Amino acid sequence: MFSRRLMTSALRSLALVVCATLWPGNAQAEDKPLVLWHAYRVQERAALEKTVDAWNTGGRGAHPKIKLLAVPYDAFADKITAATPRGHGPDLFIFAHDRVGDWAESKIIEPIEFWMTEKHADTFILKTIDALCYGDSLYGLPMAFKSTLLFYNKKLVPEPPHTTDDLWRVGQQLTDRKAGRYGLVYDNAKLYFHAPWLHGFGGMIFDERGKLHISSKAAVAAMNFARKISGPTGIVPPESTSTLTTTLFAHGKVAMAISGPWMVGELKKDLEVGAIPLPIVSSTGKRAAPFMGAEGIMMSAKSKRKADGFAAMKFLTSDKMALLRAKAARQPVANKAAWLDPTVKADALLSAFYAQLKFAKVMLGTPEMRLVWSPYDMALQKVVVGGGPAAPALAEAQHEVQRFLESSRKGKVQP
Amino acid sequence: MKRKHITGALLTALFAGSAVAISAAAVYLSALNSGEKAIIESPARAYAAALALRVAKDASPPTAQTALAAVTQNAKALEHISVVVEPRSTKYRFLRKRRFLAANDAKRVGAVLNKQSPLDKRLYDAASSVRSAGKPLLELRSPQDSNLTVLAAAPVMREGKHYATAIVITAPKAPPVPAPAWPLFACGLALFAFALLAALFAPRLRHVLVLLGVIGMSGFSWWWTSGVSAAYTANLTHTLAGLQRTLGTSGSLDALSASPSPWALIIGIPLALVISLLALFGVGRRMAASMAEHRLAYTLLIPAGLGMALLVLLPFVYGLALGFFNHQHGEYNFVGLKNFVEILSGGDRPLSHPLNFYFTLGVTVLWTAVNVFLHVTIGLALALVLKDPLLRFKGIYRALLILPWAMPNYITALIWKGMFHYQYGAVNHVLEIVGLEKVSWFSSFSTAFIANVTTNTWLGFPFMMVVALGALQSIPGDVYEAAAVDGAPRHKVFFHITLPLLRPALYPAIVLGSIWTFNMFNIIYLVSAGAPNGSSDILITEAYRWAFQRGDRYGLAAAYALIIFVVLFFYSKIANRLSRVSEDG
Amino acid sequence: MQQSTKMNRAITHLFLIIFTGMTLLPVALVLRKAVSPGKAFELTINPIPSKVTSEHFREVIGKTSSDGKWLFGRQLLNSTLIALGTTLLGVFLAATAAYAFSRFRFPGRNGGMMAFLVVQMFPATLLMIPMYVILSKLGLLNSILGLIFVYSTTAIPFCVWMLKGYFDTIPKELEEAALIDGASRIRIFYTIVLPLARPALAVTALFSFMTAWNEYILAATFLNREESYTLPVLLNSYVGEHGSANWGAFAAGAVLVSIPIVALFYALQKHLVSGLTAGGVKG
Repeated sequence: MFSRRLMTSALRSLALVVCATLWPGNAQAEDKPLVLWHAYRVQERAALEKTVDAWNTGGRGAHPKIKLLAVPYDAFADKITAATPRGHGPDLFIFAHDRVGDWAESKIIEPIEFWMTEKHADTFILKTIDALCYGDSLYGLPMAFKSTLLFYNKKLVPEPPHTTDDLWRVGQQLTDRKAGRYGLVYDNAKLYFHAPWLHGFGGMIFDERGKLHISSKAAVAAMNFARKISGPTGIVPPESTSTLTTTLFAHGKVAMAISGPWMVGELKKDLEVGAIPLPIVSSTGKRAAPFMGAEGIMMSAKSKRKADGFAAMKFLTSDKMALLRAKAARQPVANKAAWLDPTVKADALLSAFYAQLKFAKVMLGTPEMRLVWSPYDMALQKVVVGGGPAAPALAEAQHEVQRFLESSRKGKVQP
Repeated sequence: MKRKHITGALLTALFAGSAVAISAAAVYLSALNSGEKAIIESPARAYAAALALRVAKDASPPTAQTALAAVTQNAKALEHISVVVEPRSTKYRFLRKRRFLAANDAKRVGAVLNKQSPLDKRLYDAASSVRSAGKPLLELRSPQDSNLTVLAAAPVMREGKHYATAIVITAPKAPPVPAPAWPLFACGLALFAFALLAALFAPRLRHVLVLLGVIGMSGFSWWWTSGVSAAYTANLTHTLAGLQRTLGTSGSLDALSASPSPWALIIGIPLALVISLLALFGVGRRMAASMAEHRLAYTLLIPAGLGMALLVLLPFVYGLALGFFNHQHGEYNFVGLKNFVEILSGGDRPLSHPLNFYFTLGVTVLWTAVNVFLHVTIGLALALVLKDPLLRFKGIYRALLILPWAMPNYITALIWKGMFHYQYGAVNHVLEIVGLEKVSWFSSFSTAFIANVTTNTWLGFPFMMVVALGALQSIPGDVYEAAAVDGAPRHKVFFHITLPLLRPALYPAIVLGSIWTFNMFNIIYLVSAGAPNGSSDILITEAYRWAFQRGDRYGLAAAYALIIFVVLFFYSKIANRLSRVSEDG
Repeated sequence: MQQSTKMNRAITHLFLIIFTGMTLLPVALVLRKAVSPGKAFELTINPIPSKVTSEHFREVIGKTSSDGKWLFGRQLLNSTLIALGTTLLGVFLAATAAYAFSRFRFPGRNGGMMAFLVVQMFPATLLMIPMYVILSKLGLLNSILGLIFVYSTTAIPFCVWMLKGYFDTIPKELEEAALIDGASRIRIFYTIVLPLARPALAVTALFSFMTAWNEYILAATFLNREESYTLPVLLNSYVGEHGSANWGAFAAGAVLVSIPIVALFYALQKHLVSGLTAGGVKG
């Protein structure tokens, strides 16, 4: 009996100890660091850590330190949406600009133009600043920009194509279906990767006034082109996805790929990769223009130290820190000054991104744009993958998006 | 006898009390979400809002002078009132230099906004909002970081152009705490006390005392509700009157009538009342008696029940409620049955359209049936083979065979997707070796469906195998021995002895397995991704697309979820009935 | 007789080897990726790697945080604590509830059992936000304990139903005899019923463990410190935008994550097949 009592009390105290260690502590230091969430991996992560170190070890002046938290990419947006409105989110976070509209409308991110000056804004490439604007406000400072490029395997493609006619010709030469070799690979059923053709043929999604233009002659022409290169006599392997793009390109099965900076990290070092801006569409003479996305550092609307937060944002996106990121992580940074640096200029890959930037279209970060992806992807599925006719598929996509727009809000579309 | 009474009363009280507490908690949570839209606290502030609106509304050109005059007149009554001018930067649409044209702090007139001041940041943002809205705003929502509430802000025009913004801002006390929590808790406590008293001191007078308690409690709730809502209404009327006086008849007053706090009261208190009344009168006595009688059973259930109520039931109720709302940028509007109508009417799409609800439902049911059948058959067959005690290496087989279940399915699903690739996939490779045509797996519904099912069967059979292995142990060996003596053929032994005896242990796995398969998101999303044209999507992936890919329509997604729930509910009812037949038979 | 039994066994083994081999092909492909160099995904049907390297395993195991803390060790510890906690709590809660459902006839029994089932039917994706709110109100965000509560409540319904089904098959006569001897119900439950239900307990324990061990999205959302992440979160941090990922590290991590499960199952399986009745079955 006695021993049992002893045991119970021992168990109880053990439970208390366990609870005490597992229950989150309430004690918090006075000088709490600014919390910064990001989804960077590998070199980009290392470079960011370096810049944060620079802030923490002196750059910060009287401002609080920064504490980083890496959040897995695919959980990031949901985590922000769940945590921030309830006051558990970070002070700052880094993410692509495509949700700026939603987050601004839901008051998750803070407009920061109050602290901006024209001189400060001038340090960034205009397109990257544009991407982070919503309405009449600015919601973040740009870190880097991302767009797709034409990557090519230097061993297989000595002379990379500069027009779509070239692309077709070179691609045909390189394609050998029996051997599983193809000329070009890209995620052809996704609007993001189809966008270069759409813009190159003169199409668009929204016009300046926010009117929807999914179903247009140019869009049909672009889709027909994509169907031709992806078809049974084309140069793109069947069932291409982003993962497949990297896989096939990395293993030399396909000589050219339309992909972005995220692919570079996965390629083996011995693969000789070249990168150039996407080709000119021969039938229109226009450049194939990919979407440009900006990665921005944004401020939570619930942050308690906004002035401090802005100082940190400004530091992390300063010319010096941007140059550090460009060199260490080969990141296409958003600061103009970094592109004047000789090391950056000498980097062929970075230069290709910079060259592409001129022919890239800023992707809209509006809530309306987010309604477009899924119906448009479905149209691409039908036409480019399934081989169906383009016009009715696009008309249906236009109809669907219109319906989503109407059911989600009466009218208001941001230019 | 007496002890039984006490336990009974205690349990009743506990039940009623916790019902009240749970509903109070629910109300509290809902109120917390809407608490940011505070009720206008005092008429004085409402007048200030009206003033700012008038600055803009005045028909005779509302100039800076009017604004200035307004500021000077009200400088004492208000904490901050300012007029900010904003010449625009020509280069960046978001950049504006802002300085004070007028302010009740005379020192600041003519000065530029201070970048270190949170107050100035708030003024700046208010001016921005007015500018982009192009109309006066009553911004009652204050951000949590500061307790600076903008009461009102309005554009000031000069020569027909937006020239400045008049802003009334206050720094009130902490944002109001949503009210309805404590009275409800108090009601719960009161109930508890009454029932306790009744049981302890006057078993005979019990009914009277309980009745008194209920009357008292409902009276109190009524008083409290009416008190609060009266105060609210009075405040609102007052405010509206004030606004109307200053504005003339028409003003945009939508913001004022949108406070949801009374909603919490209207739903919360009657709910708590009904539950506790039911507990006390209709079912209360019987329940008290049975609770006393079965107290061990209930005690055993309490820990699991409590955990479930808190972490599963509460979110579940929230999810159910969400189905009746429409979500837009973090705000929810009640839309009644609209979401359900949109889904159940098929959304104007023909029945054969992959986005039509009934099409997806059909696919989902087929998907579930095929999968569960395969899981159970394969799992059971393997379990039967692997339970043979004389079989060598059975432990190793078993351990290897659970690997599909053990490995994170994100990567294995992608491996399977790769194996089904037209050109490079293993499956087509094998088909070619055998001499068959290659199949383009994701270009038609049937093949995409087969690819999904194959992957999910691969993932799912180990679980059923493990369950069946455990379940097989519940069959006493002598049953088989008897059958062996009788010389019954194997298949007969299986269908007439093994299977019926396995049923109670397999039944939950089958029912839950079908529920999980019905809601199996990852495989569909990663393997076929709905290809072609969304036809291989099931209900849960549809719901996901509505929630995350078609404009954050959480309400519609929740409505989908609710429909999924109803379908599964009826399914399990039927399954339950079937199992009871087998249990009895 | 002897001959045909041998024959049968050989056939059984042949069947099992072929079946297991087919089943293991995707697993082998993961393993192949884990040990072959290169980060890109591979499309191959040959499970034998052409070149073997341990770089991916070294990367996963050796991962450190920005301030030099050894992440894999901490995250392994977190995962283990959470999974074990979930198993203990989940099985304990489920066993008591299942016993009540199995042995007592009380008002609300059917309703209660239904309720345990029904709550599983609502898709979990939509429950994340309310769960988040509740955990934050309880002060259990960013804590191991919070996740243990969440996971064990998710695992309870299956465990309750499974155990209830199994308890039903245990003859009541054993307990009745003990009751007559004057043992208390609780004592009977612990000394007679639970040991008899070992196979079902093993199944539910494995299930609870797996629920907690492999869950990713809630862990990634609720935890706010890299040191307190669980292994699946670590694993998913190798995946980036547009399906880009360090697949080598991901595969290595997947292999590492599944080892404890297989080991646990191997350890548990003697309970799985050794209920008291198992000895009676002779080929």
